[in-house]
Amino acid sequence: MDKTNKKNGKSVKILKNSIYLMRLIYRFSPMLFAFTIIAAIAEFCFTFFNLLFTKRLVQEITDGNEFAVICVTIAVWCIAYLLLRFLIISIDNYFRPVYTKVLIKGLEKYLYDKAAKVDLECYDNSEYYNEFIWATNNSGEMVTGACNSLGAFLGYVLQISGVISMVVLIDPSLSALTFVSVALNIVVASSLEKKKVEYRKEIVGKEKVERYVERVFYLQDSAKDLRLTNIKGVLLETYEKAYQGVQTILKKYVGKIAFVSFLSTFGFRYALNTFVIYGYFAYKLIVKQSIDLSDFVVVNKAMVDLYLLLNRWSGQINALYRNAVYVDTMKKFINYEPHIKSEADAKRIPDAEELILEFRNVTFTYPGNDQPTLRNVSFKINPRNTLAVVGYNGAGKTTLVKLMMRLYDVDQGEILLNGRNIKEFDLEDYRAMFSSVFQDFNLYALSLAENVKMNDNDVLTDDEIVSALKHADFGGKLSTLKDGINSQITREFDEEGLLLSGGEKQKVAMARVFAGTGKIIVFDEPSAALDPFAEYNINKRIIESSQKKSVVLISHRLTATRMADHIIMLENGEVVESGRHEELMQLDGKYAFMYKVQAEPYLKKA
Amino acid sequence: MNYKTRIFVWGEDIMKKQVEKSSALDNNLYVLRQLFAASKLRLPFEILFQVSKGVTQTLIYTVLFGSIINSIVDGRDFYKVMEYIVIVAAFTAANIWFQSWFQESFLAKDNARIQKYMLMNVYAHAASLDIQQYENPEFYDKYVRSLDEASSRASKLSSSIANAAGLLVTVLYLLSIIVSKEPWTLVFVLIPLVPGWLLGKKKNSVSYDLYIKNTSPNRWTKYLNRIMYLKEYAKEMRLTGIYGVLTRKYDDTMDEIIKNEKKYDRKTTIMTLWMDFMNDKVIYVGILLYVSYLIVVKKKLLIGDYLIIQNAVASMTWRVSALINSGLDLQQSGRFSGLLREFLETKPLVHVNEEAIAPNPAMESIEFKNVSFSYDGKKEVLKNINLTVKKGSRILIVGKNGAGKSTFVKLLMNLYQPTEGEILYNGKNIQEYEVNPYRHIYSTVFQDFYLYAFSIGQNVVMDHYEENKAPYVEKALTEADLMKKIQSLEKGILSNVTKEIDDDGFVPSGGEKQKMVIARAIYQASDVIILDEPSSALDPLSEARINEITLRSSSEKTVFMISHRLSSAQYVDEVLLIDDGVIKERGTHESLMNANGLYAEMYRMQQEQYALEGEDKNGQD
Repeated sequence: MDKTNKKNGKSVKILKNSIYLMRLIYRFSPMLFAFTIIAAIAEFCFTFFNLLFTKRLVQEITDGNEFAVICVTIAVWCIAYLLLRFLIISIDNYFRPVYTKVLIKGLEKYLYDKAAKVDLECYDNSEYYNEFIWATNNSGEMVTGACNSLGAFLGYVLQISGVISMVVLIDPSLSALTFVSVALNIVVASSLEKKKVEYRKEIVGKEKVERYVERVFYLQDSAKDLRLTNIKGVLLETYEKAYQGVQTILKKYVGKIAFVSFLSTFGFRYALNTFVIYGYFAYKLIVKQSIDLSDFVVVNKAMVDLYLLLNRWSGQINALYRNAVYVDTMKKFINYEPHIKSEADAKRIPDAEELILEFRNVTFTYPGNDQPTLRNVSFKINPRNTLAVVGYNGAGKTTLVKLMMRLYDVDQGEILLNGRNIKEFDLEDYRAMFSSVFQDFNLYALSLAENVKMNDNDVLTDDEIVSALKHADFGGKLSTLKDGINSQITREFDEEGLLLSGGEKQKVAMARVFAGTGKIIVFDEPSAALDPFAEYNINKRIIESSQKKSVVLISHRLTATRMADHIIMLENGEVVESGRHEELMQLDGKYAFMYKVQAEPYLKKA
Repeated sequence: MNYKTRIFVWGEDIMKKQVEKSSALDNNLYVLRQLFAASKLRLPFEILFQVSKGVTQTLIYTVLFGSIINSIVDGRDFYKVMEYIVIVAAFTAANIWFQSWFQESFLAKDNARIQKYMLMNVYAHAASLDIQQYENPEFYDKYVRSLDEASSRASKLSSSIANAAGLLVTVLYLLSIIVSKEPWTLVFVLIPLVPGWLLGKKKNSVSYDLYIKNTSPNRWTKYLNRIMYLKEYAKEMRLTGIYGVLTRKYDDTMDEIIKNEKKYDRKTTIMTLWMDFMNDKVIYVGILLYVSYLIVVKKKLLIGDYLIIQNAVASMTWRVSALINSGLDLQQSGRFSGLLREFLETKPLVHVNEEAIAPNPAMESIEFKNVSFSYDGKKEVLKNINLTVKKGSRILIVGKNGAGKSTFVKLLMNLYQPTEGEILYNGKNIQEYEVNPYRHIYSTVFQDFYLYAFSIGQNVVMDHYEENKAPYVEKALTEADLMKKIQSLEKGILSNVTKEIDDDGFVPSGGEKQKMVIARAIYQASDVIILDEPSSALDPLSEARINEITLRSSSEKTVFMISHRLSSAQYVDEVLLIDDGVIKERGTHESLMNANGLYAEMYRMQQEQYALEGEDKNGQD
C-alpha cells in the first residue's frame, strides 16, 4: 500500500513538474515549445510512413507488379521522406539550438533576479544554500537537457503507439505477445534502475571524498602544503580508502545487475521479440501458408524499431525523474518569498542631511543557533558622527553592521532612522543610504573603473573615480597602469589583466566607499592587509570622511577607533562598555586593557 | 656545480614544442600506454564487445531473416528452418551474456580502476612541479584542464578505438554479404562516399568554428553564473549596484552567443541536409530501384535476397558514416590526449639532483649570497640580497605591500630558485639537498593558508594522524589558544573541519582558522619557524599571544617573521626593511630608530597613534 502510494507519488511528481517545466519553456521561449512538439510529431510520421512503405513495396514486388508502378511508389515515398527529413533536420540543427539559448537567457535572468532578492540568512544555512541556491547555478544546462528529454519522451510515446498499432493491424494474435513484452520490459528496466539507484546511493559518499581530494589538488592554496608537509600522503591514502570502498560496493552489485541485464536483453529483445516471432512466421508461412510475406517483413522491422524505442523511452523516464527532482528545487527557489522586502506603502529616505540612526534594545539570533549573537544592544549615531565598534574575534561586530544595513531583520527591539522603524522604508532606497566595505569584499573581472563605481549608471565621472582611487592611496599604482582606470582586473578574461596584491585590492575596495554616494559609511576591518604607510593614510582618510558623513568603523586596530565620537565594546554580543576613548581609558575596564595590550610595546619605548 | 646562472624554462615553452612535434596519433599512443599500464584487458575486451554487438545483429536481422524468407520461397522444410533459428539463438545467448557482463560489471569496476591510476599519475606529477609554475595563470589553466582529462581520457580513448574496430569488422562482414548476393549494388554505396566524407569534414570544421567563437562568451556566462549564486558575493549583490553591471554584461554576452549560433547553425543545417540526401537518398533509392529491377524485370534475385541486400545496405550506410565520425573522433581525442601528455611531460624547474644529500634538521646557519630573483627575467623582485642568520636569531622582515617580503621566504624554502646568487644552509647550497626533506625543516604559517576537510588533529599534524600524537596536538592547540573551543566540540580534536565531507563538521571563524594554523607551526617543533603575517585577522589579545609564543619564549629557535605590526620589532634580534627589492635598512630596533630612516618613520607612524595625548612628541625628535 505504502509502496504503491510512493510509486504514484513519484509519477505524480514527474507529471506535475514536467507540466511546470513546459510552462516555463512556453513562457521564456514559445518558439522552442512549438518546435519541440512539431519535432515529436514529425518523428512519429517518419517511423509510421517507413513501415507502411516497406509493406507496400514488398507487396508490390511479390505480387509481380510492373516496374513502372514500383518506381512511382518509390518516388512518392521519396518525396514524403525528403519533406519530413527537411523538417526534422532544420529543427535539430537550427531552431532547437537557437531557441534553447533564448530560453536559457530568459530563465537565467529571471533566476538571477530571484537570487539577488533571497534573504541573506538562506546563504548561512549550508544545506539550504547547497540545495536551493547553488543548485540553480547550472540551470541553463539542466533546463536544456530537461526540454530535450521532454520532447524525446513525447516523440517516443507517439512512435511506440504507432508501431504497436501497426503490428496489431497486421496480426491481432501478435498483440498479446507485444503487450506482454512491452510490460515485462518496463518492469525489468525499472527494477534494474532501482538496483542502480541503490548502489549509487552507497557509492555517493565515497565519491564525495574522491572528488574532495581531486579538488584539493586543483587548488592553488594547498599547493604550498603539498610541498612543505606530508599532507600529500594523507590525501592519497584517503583517496585509496575511498576507492577500495567503491570497488567493494561495485563487487556486491554489478554481478546481479549484469545477470538481470542479460535476462532482459536476451529474453525480451531476442528470445521473445525475435526468435519466437521468426518461428511463428516460419510456421504460418511454410506449414499453414496463411500469411502475406510483406506482413512478416513489416512485423520484423516493427519489432526492431519497437525494441530500440522502448529502450530509449525507458532511458527518458529516468531522465524525466532526474529532471523532476531538479525542477522541484528550482520551483522552491522560484516560489521563495523573501521576508526582508519593501512594504507596499514603503517610504522614501528623507532628503534631510541630518540622519539619526538608532539601535534600541536589539537582540538577534542567527537561524539555527541557540545563542543570540547580539543581546539588547542600544546606541545612537548622530549626523556626521563616528561610531567605532570594537571587541574580540566573534563578539558580533559584523553582525551588528549587517543588521544596520538590513541584510537581516532584528528579532527583538528595533532599529530607527530619524525615529521611524527602518522596515517602513523602501528597501533599495534604504540600503543605498550606505557606502560600505566589508572584510570579505570581492573584486570583479571588470574594469578598474567599474570595480570602483559598482554601478551601471554614469553618475560618477572618470575624474571622480581617479580621485577616489588616489584618496584610497592607490594613486601610485594607478600611475603605472597603461590603461589607467580602464585596466581589466584579473586575468580571467584578459591576458594583460591586472593582478593585484592583497593590500592593493583592499585599497580598491576602499576607493568604492570614497566614490560612493551613500550618506553613512561603513568600514569593516579596513586596514587588515595594509602596510603601516597605507594604514596611516587610510586612517587619516576615514577621519576626513567623518567631517562630511556619519561613519561606522569596525577595527582591531584601536589606533583607528581612538578618534571616534563614540566607541562601543562588544563582548559575547553585549555592549559591555561605551563612551569616548578618554572616558573608557579612565574607566580602566576591558577596553582600556585591550588598548594597553596593543599600545604597550610602542609606549614602552617612547 | 655552478648555480650562479639559471636558465628559465617555462612550462609553456616546452608545451609549444610538444604540440608542434607530436601528432594526434603520438598523443593517443601515449595515453594508450597508460591505459595498458592501468588495465591490460580493457581494450581487447572492449573491441570484442563492439565486434560481438555488430556481428550478432547482422547475423540475426540480415542473414537469418533473409534466409527464412528465401526458404519459404524455396519451399524448404520447416524443421530445417527451426534448427537454424535455434542455432542462431544459442550463439546470440552466448554473445549477450558476454556483452551484459562487460557492460554492467567489468566496465563499472574498470573505469574506476583506470581513473584512479590516471589521477594518481597526475597528482604525483603535479606535486613534483614548482610552485612558481603553479602561479603562472597559463600553466595553471593547463593543469586544471589536464586534471579534467585525466579522470576519463583513457577510458574514452579505449571506447573510441573499440567502437571504430567494431564498426570496421561489421562493415566488412556486411560488404561480404552484399558482394556474395549482387556485387553491382556496391556502386551505390561507393558513389556518395567521397562527397559524404568531405561534407562531414566541412560540417565538423563549422561546428569547431562556432565552438571557438563562443568560447569567450561561454566563459563569461560561466563566470557570471558563478558570481550570481556564490555566497561570497551575496552581500555586495544586495548592497551595491554591481548586480545591474553584471546583468547588463550577461545580456550582451547571451546576445552574442545567440547571434553566433544563428549564423553557424544555418550553415550546419544546410550541410546536414546535403549529407542526409547523399547518404540516405542516393544509396537507398538507387539500390531499391536497381534491385526491384533485377527481381521484377530480370527475375534474377529472390525476394529474400532483396531484403538481405536492403537490410545490409541500410545497416552499412550508418555504420560507414559512424566509421568516418570515429576517425574524426580519434583525431579530436588526440588533441585532448595531447593536453594530458603536455602536462605529464612538463619538467619541474628544480632539476633533480642525483647526488642530493639529506639536510640536518639542526640548523646552524643560513646565508644569502648575492641573491636576485625575477619572475619573468625582466623585472627583479629581489636584488642582490646578502644576509647571514645564525642559529637562534629572530628576524623581523618589514616593508610596504609588494616590496618582496614573501618572495624572500619562498626563496629560502626552495619554493622558488634564485635567478642569481645562492642560498646556503649549514654552509651548503640548498640545491644540494634533497628537495622535500629540506623543505620539511621549516615550520610555516603563511598568509594564504588552507584548512583540509579532515579532523582537527590531522590539520595540525599535516601528516598521518595517529592516536599517540594526540597529547602533542592538544599541547600545540593549547599554546595557540584554541583548545578551549575545541574541547567544547563533541568529538574534540577528532572533529572534522568544514562541512565539505562531514555534515557535522566544525566551521571555524577567521580568527580560529588562523589559530589552528599557528598550532600547526607549533606542533612541527622545527628549529626554524617562518611566519608570514600571522596576525592580520586576529584581535589584539590573540596577536600579543602569538608574539609571546613565537618571539619571546623560543630562545632556541630561529624565527623569520613578516609583519606590518612593528610592535613585534623589539623582541627580535634583527629587523630587515625590504623596499623595492633591496634590503634598505637592517639592524636592531634601537639602531634603526637612531638611524632615523624609513623604518623609524614607519614605526613612529604606528606609535604616534597610540601615544596618549600630552605624552607624545617627547623624546622622539
